[in-house]
Amino acid sequence: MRTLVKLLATVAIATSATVPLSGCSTLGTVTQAANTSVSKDELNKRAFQVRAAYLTALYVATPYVELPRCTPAPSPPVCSSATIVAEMKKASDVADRATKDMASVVRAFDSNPKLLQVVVAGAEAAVKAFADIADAYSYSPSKKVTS
Amino acid sequence: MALPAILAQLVGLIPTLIGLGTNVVGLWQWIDQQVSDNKTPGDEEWERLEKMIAAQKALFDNAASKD
Repeated sequence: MRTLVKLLATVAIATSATVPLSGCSTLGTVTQAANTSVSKDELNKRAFQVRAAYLTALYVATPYVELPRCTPAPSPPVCSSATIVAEMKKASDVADRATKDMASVVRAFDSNPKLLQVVVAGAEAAVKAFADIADAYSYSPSKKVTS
Repeated sequence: MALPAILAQLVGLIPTLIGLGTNVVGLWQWIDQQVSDNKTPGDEEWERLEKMIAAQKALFDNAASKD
């Protein structure tokens, strides 16, 4: 149940990053996450995992970005879309900032732990947004991906 | 400790990363050690993680800006 609440909070925060809060259900979910208490060690571990997840998403995204860009014909046989690369870069920058700030405040641990938990959930949502794009366009030489 | 949803999703990408020659198994073993029940990441571990991120982000940003 606790994990479910955290996951719902993650979705709520990810949604609020792109669309205005639409009602009480979203705010209620975040409030529920803020009411779940966690220890300093647990928050530190969770923050570490989320920052490490950002690193993993970077590993997944980089090979696609390194491909030559697709152009009007003749295009390279294996190429990456400039539009997708721009989206990846934007999502990466957001996730980097969110996880870096999260790491700072969690490690300082001078805020309300319940609030810190919401910060971690928000950073996790930012990494998920980046990882979703990286996952969709992940490239390895054995897997032919174009545009 | 429950695995965050984001890490659970990324576990599925390990075969791809191995195919690329990334030592992701070693990385994940190290991450797992840092968050095990009787341990918590300290300054040294955070610093090491930040160095890895900085190196990979430099590669990513450089490739992304070649348009």
